[in-house]
Amino acid sequence: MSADDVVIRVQELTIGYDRILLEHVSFEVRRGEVFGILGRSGAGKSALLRHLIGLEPPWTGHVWIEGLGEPRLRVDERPRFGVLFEGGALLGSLTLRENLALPLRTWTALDEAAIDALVTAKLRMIGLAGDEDRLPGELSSGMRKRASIARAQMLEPTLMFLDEPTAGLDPVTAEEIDELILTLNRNLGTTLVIVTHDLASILRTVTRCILLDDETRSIVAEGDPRRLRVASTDPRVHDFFHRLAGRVP
Amino acid sequence: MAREVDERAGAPLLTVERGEDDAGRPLVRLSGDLTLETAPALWRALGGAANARCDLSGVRTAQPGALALLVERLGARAPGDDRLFGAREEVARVLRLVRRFPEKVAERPRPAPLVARLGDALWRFLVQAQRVAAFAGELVVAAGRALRHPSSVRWRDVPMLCERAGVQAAVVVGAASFLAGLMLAFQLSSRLTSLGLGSVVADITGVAVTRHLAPFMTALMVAGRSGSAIAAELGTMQVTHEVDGLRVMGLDPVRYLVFPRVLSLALIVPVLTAYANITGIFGGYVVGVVQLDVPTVEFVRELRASLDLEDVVRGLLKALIFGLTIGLVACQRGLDTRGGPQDVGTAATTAVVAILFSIVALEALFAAVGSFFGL
Ligand SMILES: Nc1ncnc2c1ncn2[C@@H]1O[C@H](COP(=O)(O)OP(=O)(O)OP(=O)(O)O)[C@@H](O)[C@H]1O
Ligand SMILES: [Mg+2]
Repeated sequence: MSADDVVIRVQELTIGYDRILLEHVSFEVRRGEVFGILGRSGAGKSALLRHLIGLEPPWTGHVWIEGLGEPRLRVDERPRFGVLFEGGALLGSLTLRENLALPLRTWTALDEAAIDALVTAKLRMIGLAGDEDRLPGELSSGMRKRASIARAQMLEPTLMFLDEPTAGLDPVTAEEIDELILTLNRNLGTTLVIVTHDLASILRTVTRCILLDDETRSIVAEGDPRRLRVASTDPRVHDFFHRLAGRVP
Repeated sequence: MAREVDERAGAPLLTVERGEDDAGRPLVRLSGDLTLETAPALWRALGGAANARCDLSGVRTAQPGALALLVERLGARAPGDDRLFGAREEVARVLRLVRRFPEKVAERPRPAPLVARLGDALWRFLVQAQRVAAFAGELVVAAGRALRHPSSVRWRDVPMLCERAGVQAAVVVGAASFLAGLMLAFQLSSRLTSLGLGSVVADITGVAVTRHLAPFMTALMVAGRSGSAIAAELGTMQVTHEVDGLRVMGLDPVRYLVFPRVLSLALIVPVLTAYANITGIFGGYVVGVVQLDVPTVEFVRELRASLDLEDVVRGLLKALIFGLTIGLVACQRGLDTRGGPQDVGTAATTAVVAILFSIVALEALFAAVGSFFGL
């Protein structure tokens, strides 16, 4: 694995809010991976994600993202990666069409007709054609998730962060989201960082993962989740992959 | 063949050639990269190319967005349409994706001693005041940036926000100012009749209403109605990560959300104040006529003699500053919300308290400055 293939490098990162959540964690994300950040609820997965994308400053340590260096969100700069927040974070006062058009309007030179055609095409690709003029509040949570992923993908980023893309969805809808993730990864070569504790989804999509533990505030395992599931002798890892209620395909 | 080249140095290049094939049918030949950078040129170049065939053999890389626009322009949406041809495998894979039609799928903390809690509250108050001040500074900086990128401000929300704030407050502002004028005149009436100076009621209510009561009552009502609504709205957007969503898209929440709201209040509070002037003076007039037997003609004459345009303008300027303050504090409290839905309610109530406090403080400041300069 050459150094060129590293897309995100995390070194000795310590994060927390009023107390420390993770201490001295280091890992790398490589190009073309579906990288999983796993752990039980409250382990600090979302918090880690917020630090990776530069929404919060680390206590100590470094995050480096290819082509960007230390991630800092700058306004007036075209974003280099797409983000799906846990709740979708679509703007509640805008219709689906306006939500998806927003990044294009801001960051491309496309005229209104082209933006409209493009938004319609993307909505069709994710199976939401016909719902363009609905408000996010009028959609089911699975539809909102798909629309949010589409919005994060509007500017065709090569790197995307997804927080709990399948949480709270029925198994069939969750599987559709997994398909969408695999399509982004395999057909478009997008590198994905996914936060999840959905075992079925992990086994289906994630190629490499880290498992966070809130007691030791560190990474307790790293590798291919399918291998970790059968081969790990660490009780915490075994617990996560076997006791955790989850859909197993 | 006519060539149209998108030549931005360093950017991915796309060449669009339009012509005819051997059979005389329209043909488009593309070479280079189909990306969002080259998509605008592609979209323009292919206007009216609805029936053309398209040779993709020169396309190196293709992103779904640009390819979707190509498909749209050529009207070649059906997965089996073979008018797009010659694509290499990576491009064909994205093309299949673009033309895919998926089925529609549907331990409780012990309370601290009272003194400590009072100290805490004072500390929180100071921290909040400091944050509001810092936010005001941020707004000034953002205003500078907004002047350079006027399109990054969501101007189109301003009329709607003005209307909302105006309609929300109109009835209560009118009624509150009327009652304030009435009350003031009543308080004065017994003294004035005993001194035989009934018509002075016009004089006093006119000046008091335009300079103080109308801007003040309007600001209080707008704070309660629109200030809390704005804080709750932005607070909700904060806890649902909508604000973070804007930031990761490279949009500045200050310009996108705060400016339109502050601006709309700065516009609407003076308008409401002008209207409150009228209802407030009418309150004084009612007392003058009913209680003091001042004839209408005399009331109007007194009013015109005593009331300068300067009083009115000064009142409206004050209203403008109140409007800015309400917007500023409401937005700051809203965006400062952390946690979950229950914190939105706290944001709304602390916003109202902070606004009321700011307005009273400003009113005192204006009075002090006014008397110092003898205004
Ligand atoms: N803004 C914040 N301020 C203070 N504490 C926070 C904040 N955000 C998260 N935390 C705390 O950090 C811890 C980890 O939260 P986080 O949201 O990262 O969990 P998670 O692993 O994503 O869990 P889940 O799977 O339920 O989403 C929790 O104990 C939470 O209370
Ligand atoms: Mg989380």
